[in-house]
Amino acid sequence: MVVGDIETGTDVVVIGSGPGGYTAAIRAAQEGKDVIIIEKEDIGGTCLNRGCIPAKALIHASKFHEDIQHWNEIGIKAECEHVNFDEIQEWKQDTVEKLNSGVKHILDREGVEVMNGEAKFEDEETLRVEEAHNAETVKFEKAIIATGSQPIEIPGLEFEKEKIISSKELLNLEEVPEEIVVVGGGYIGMEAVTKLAKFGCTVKVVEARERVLSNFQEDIVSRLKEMTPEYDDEIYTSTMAQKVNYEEDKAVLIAEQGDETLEISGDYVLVAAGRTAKPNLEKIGLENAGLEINEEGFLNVDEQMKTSKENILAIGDAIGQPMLAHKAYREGDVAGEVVSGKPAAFDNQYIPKAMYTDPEVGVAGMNPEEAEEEFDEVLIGEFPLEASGRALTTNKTNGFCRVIASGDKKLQGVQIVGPRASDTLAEATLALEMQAYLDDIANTIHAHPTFPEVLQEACKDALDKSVHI
Amino acid sequence: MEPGDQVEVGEVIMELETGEKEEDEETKEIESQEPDQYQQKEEEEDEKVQEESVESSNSSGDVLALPKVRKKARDKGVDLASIKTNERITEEELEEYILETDEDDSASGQSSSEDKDSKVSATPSVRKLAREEDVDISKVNGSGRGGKVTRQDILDYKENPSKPGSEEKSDNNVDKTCKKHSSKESKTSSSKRSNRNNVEHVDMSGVKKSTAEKMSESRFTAPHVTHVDKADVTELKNLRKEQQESVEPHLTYLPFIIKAVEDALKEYPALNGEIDMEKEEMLYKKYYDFNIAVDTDNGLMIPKIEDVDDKSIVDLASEIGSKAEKAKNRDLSPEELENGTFSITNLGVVGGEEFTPIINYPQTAILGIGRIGETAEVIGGEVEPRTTVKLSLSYDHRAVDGAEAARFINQVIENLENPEEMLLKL
Repeated sequence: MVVGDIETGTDVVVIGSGPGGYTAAIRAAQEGKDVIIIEKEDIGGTCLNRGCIPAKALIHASKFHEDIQHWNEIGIKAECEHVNFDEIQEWKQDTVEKLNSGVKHILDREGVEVMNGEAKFEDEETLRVEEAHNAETVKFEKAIIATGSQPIEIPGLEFEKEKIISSKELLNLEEVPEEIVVVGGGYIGMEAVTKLAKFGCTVKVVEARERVLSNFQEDIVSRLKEMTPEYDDEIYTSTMAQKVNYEEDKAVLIAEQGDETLEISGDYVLVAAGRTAKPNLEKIGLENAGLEINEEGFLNVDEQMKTSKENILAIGDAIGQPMLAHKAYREGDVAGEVVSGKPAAFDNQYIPKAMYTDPEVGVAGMNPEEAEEEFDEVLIGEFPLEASGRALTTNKTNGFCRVIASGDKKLQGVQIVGPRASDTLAEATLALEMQAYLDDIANTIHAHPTFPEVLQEACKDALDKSVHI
Repeated sequence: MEPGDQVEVGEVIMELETGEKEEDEETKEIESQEPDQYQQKEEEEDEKVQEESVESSNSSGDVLALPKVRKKARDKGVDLASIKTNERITEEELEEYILETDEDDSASGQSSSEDKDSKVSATPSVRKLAREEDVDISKVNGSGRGGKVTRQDILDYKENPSKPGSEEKSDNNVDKTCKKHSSKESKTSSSKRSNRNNVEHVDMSGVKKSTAEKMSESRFTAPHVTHVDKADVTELKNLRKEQQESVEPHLTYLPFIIKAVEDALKEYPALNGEIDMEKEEMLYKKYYDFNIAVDTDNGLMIPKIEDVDDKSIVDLASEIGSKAEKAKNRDLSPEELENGTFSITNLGVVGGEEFTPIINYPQTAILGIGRIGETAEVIGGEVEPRTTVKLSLSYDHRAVDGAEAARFINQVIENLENPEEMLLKL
């Protein structure tokens, strides 16, 4: 017992305040429940503080640097004196804080009580929260576990946060390094390439598989490489990272490529080998509540987000792949409504994926190969950005939009490579979720000139009635 | 109840193509066909892939395999270390392993296409409505393009879940859902939902299928009107009792009713006819072949009694008895099941006063006989217990006018109420 130990009772307690957690807390509060949300670090979780948001802020900044060359080409004569990375970081931090205080404000407005501390189950209806200077016991009716994930550590490349860093430290670098080694050619790794290479950093990617971005279709990745040389520059595929040696102020990654041993040096080694939910779950005393982590390191839930305990729900990265904030948002909505007695369920059929490379990549639904396996007849339509008025007028003509439909003309998948692909993806996902047919999109008037027109054009191409190609 | 009565029932009628015996009904038990929407069906994220590749990099040192085999294993999500072999793993061994594991449990990334296959075709708001209305959307047969389930479909299903269209859908789903259920460890679903899925699926027998087709054809082709009236059969009851002892087998009301109807048909030929819309003509049949609905264990059968006008009450009684027996034993020949000119269904022996029979199309009318029993009737200002029966005549309003039908029934009633006169006429 700690002095000052008090007991609080609540309808709903949410563990973790990332996109899933805060959404669940706010929805339950809106439905009239008493809600406590427990956060051991910063409100907003990984996405807001050390993931999506700061990463996209830096990618945004990095693009301007490149744009200056184009300005000169079209008559705006200018040159970049120098990049003050400190200021960029400050601006990025401002953005994060703006969003952060926005979330805090809404939590406050809806009457959600925020507790800063680490939560641990004592039994199925009790949580103990260790705060900085005291501890509290929370008796709850319903609990929502939203503990998120953290970067995976590779044996031999343990994070010491000086030279071997994760995406979290990368986002807080004080200056642009000259060279950096990225272990992992997934999208976190490739987004790191995007932002650093444009600031002049040499990025070396070490990937265990035969190619980077291996779960995006090969032709998407090769198009990406064609368009943007930095994705093809120093990439070591089929290469296994072994350990890091320190030489002067450099970190040297020792890696094996077949029989050869490679030494790849950089100012930092960024390990971007994926994320794991397990360590966070292991800290919250699941066994006391009668819950178990499954073989894959997640909690099992049903479509109402309920674990094997009727009154304990789990959402977000804690329950499985894909670990995406937008998946967690939706699950948070569902969980918040379910604990309020509403018949909600996660019945989503499509989870879109966006990657902020240059150009961006957005996919939803089936790729052509999956569709070929599934359907006797597959219709594919493509539209190159070179033919888009909007793309031409913004000097962003690299990319294409591809739609995949079954023989009955029902839309089954969309792949977009190009500027604002992540935005156009929204319409594509809506169309899929609304069970649209090609003509639903082809016959909908799209404002001109815009990027999303490419989706309409690709649908028309699949129907063999394209006018612009 | 007499043996003859017991079998002469069936609410409606139909034509059977054959009388051959059906296979035993095959039953399938489906425990759960909850579409497990929430699975890791999407391809795994980059992170996950990277994680795997890192893991396999640690173990791959112990495994011997050609690069192309390794690549295939990665593409298929197979950990080569789990394939037991003494030497280098060949492509064949890998394929075999994939086949085996697919059979055991296809819960890997490979099953993504299968999941998509069973996706419900409905917009998010309609799926939400289904949950709110407590409707299992996977059971609803969508009326939209490609079977898309609409808001209205959910509301209609809620009102009438047993609509044939709804069941058709679940039958179509049987294979898929069975496969899905066995191939996937289903996540905990609430017990309420799994009860809903505890449904026994029984294939329709040939008789049932044929009945269903005929019923739909009739109901949706001929505009039906059912006319109900009551006949006082006290005298007929007495007459029948008198005759009972002298007749073998048991004498039921049915032969008398057949005679009463046949006599009335001669006066109102439209009810013993057929309508040909293509040629725009009415066919008045000058012969009187009746179909009599018979309830059997395998469903409804309607054997034909030919030329009822040429047969005596006793002949009819014995023929009805033998045809009913044959129907029960499925010994009726296809000829004996042909469509006649008029039909009678005697549901009243099972129960019920009146009902709306469905016409044995292309006939134009069918007579339903209600329960025969004592009722309180007012005769000459006095209430008297009388034996009465309600007659429900459904007719095709294209061929028969309402007044015509009423007059026809009046004639039938008159015949039944004055049986001796009727028998003299014959």
